[in-house]
Amino acid sequence: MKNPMRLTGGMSIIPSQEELIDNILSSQLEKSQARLILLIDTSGQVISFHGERGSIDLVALGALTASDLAASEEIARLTNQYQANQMVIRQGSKMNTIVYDVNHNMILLYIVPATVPLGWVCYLVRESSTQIKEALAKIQNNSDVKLLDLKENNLNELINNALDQVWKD
Amino acid sequence: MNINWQLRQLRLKIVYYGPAMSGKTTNIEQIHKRIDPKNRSNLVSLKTNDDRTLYFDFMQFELGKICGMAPCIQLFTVPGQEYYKASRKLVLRGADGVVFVADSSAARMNDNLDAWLDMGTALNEMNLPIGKIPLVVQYNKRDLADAVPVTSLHESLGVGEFPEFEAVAFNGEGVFNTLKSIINDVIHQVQKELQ
Repeated sequence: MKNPMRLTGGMSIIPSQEELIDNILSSQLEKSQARLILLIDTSGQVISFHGERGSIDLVALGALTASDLAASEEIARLTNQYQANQMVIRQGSKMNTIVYDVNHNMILLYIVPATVPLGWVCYLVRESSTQIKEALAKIQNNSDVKLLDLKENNLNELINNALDQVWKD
Repeated sequence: MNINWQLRQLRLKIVYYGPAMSGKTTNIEQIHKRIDPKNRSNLVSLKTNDDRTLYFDFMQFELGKICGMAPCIQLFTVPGQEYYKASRKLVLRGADGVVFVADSSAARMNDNLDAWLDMGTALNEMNLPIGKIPLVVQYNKRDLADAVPVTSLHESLGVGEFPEFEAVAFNGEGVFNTLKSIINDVIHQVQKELQ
């Protein structure tokens, strides 16, 4: 291709940021009595998970949560109700589920017993979102960007070998 | 793209796009079937009662270490039916690469073109015009009696210089080559972006 291409400008999280996020979510788990708290990016990739994993398929949960919020946001747009930091609340008889748009790059999912007041949980979701944004802003992300600095020929070979190894004919 | 430096994991999203029933889901099913289970997730499919994709199909798999990082590839399909246009746009969000699956049947030429133009519009709206995002074209169902010559498909879609592959996804033919090509393109793009 003649034109330079570009990626969609995704996210990069360094260990010190991840540590701060883990501390925030760990504290939130206790305060909210949540069964689980999941932080993902907008494409559904899992950034952090706290709570009872049990047999939950985290990869699928991440993809479905991101799609859930994206669909809800689109419904809001189509009906002229879109606002920033949309929150989707699903009330159940035993569990409530809250999905929250942190900063257009990240999404929080809380699954909390219905016995915990919903207003309190919503407050905590917003609080954790603010804390995460502050934590990310505080630490400069100056990660080593040369991680894939190899000659192109060699990179092709490495990728193809890695694919051959996982593929069964 | 999402990089977790703690786990040294590079996560990439690839979307299979194309007209209804062109074989997008079949591609993902074949990939799911052929990737070692210890390296892949379950296949998640949100389907209608008549087995058509309602929202998306999804799976993820991991590659071994490349340059000290472990690439983790997420594959999505979009629903092909015309009335799921809004859902298609949502699935495209955050994509690092796209595979366009065209149906080789002569009867589906217009559907291919509609889907190609629809994809172009959706990518434009996301500020990612065709040519700015890694893209691979797959001409599927090459075994059909009324399969159109590849050169005609190439010309009618205006595919230009994008990598192209012939496939019969139903039996796995061409599926791996298409996947290899898009992953190579995306990782090369990541390399360029990070330098």
